[in-house]
Amino acid sequence: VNSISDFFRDLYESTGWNFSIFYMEWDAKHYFEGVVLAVQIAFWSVLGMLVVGVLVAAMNMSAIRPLRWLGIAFVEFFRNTPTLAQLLFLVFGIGSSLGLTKYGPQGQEPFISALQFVILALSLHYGAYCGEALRSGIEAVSHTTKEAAESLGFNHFHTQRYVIYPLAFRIALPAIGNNVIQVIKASSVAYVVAVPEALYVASEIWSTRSNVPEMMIVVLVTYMTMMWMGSLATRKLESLLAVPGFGR
Amino acid sequence: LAEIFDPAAWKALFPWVPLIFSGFLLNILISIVSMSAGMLMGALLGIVQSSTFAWVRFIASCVSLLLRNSPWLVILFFAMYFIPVNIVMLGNYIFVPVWMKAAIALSLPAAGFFSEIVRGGIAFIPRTQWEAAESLGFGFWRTISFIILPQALRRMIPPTINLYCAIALGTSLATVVGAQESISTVQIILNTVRAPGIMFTSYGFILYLFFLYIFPISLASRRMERALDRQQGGKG
Repeated sequence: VNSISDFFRDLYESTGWNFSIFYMEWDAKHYFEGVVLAVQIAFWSVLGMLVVGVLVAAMNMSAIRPLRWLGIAFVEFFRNTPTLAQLLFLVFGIGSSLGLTKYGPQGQEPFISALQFVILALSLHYGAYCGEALRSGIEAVSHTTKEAAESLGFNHFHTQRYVIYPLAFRIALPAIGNNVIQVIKASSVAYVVAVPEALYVASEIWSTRSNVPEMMIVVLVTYMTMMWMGSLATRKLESLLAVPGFGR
Repeated sequence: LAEIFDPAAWKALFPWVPLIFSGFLLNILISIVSMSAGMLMGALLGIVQSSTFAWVRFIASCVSLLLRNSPWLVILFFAMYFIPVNIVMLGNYIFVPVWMKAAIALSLPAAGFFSEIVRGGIAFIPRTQWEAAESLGFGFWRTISFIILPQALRRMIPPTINLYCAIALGTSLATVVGAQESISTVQIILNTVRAPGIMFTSYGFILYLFFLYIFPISLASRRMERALDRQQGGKG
């Protein structure tokens, strides 16, 4: 570790390239916390996205017409408005207006913090996309499979739970994996509501150390790595879940 | 809760609606400029990605991947810090407004995604077309521009429209770097006007505006996609 920090200190002293996070303890700690927070945002948003996606897909495929309309309205609303505007609407329009984001008089945690709103906004926005992906997965499950399940005495819920969804999830997995990447990429909007994730911390560092280009490269590499890991994980999941005889 | 649906908020917001509209026009302007620039660059990048040289293909696909996978906010920051305020050209100082920087920034991911659309469109054309062109003595660029792209074009229209929708949604990020677009105007309004429930109303209005603009476009693209699918099904 010492040699790395020495290398970057030398780099700064000899060339002026100031990668301060590699040799200044405070910067390093701060940035590391930011990266951890960014990963957390991405992780919980992906989970939230899957939950919302399943709900939306179930609504869109349900036999009850008003429920279907509600699902379609949800998807169209969240797909056709900007994530940033949704986030600001949630944080300020709903959160601040209802006093949800206020800290208590003794500094108690707010009812819903900005971080939680970011996760909520990302889950809802990408949940709409995920729901659509799942829906096309469900539609791709052949009708005969469903009939076979019914003839084995599965009721509607059990058919969905044990036959349709597991297959549909596998079919939709590449599309969902794509959404995972998008979530990681979009997690940087947390910057706007001052959640100290990687980009926000980087901007703090570059405004104190005035090393904008260096920190930007670091941020870019950080996100690239996160996305690369996300796509590796989904690829791994795909191969783990692959149904023999399905797909390529 | 009653505060949120206070009609007073609507009354307070009403005189500011033209300002929000002018901000939204800037959103549309940014989206059009960045989409056109992105399509130009992306078409080139996409064609290069279908090059016959493996190393050219590799470099081009790396560039495309980099453009597609960078968070847009980070690209915007890059543009803000690295594009100079004034560009010197032939001894004249040309002022680069913030919205133009935002448009340039957004054109980069647009180029990345459009290159992928072009590549997909080219890959969709059967190999025999290339061989036929080659046997007629067409070179790479002439095959691409006179034989492959004209056929691929129809396939490329729906995803291109979808990309435009994504870019138009992305223009809202320009507020973060200081372009005076619709969300910035709302923030100005919120700094001047004090009324209960105004935040809910004004941010809701932004969502409404974007929806009103994007939804018809995405509907049209979906309709076109279905029509294309039906045609393809009829043929095969």
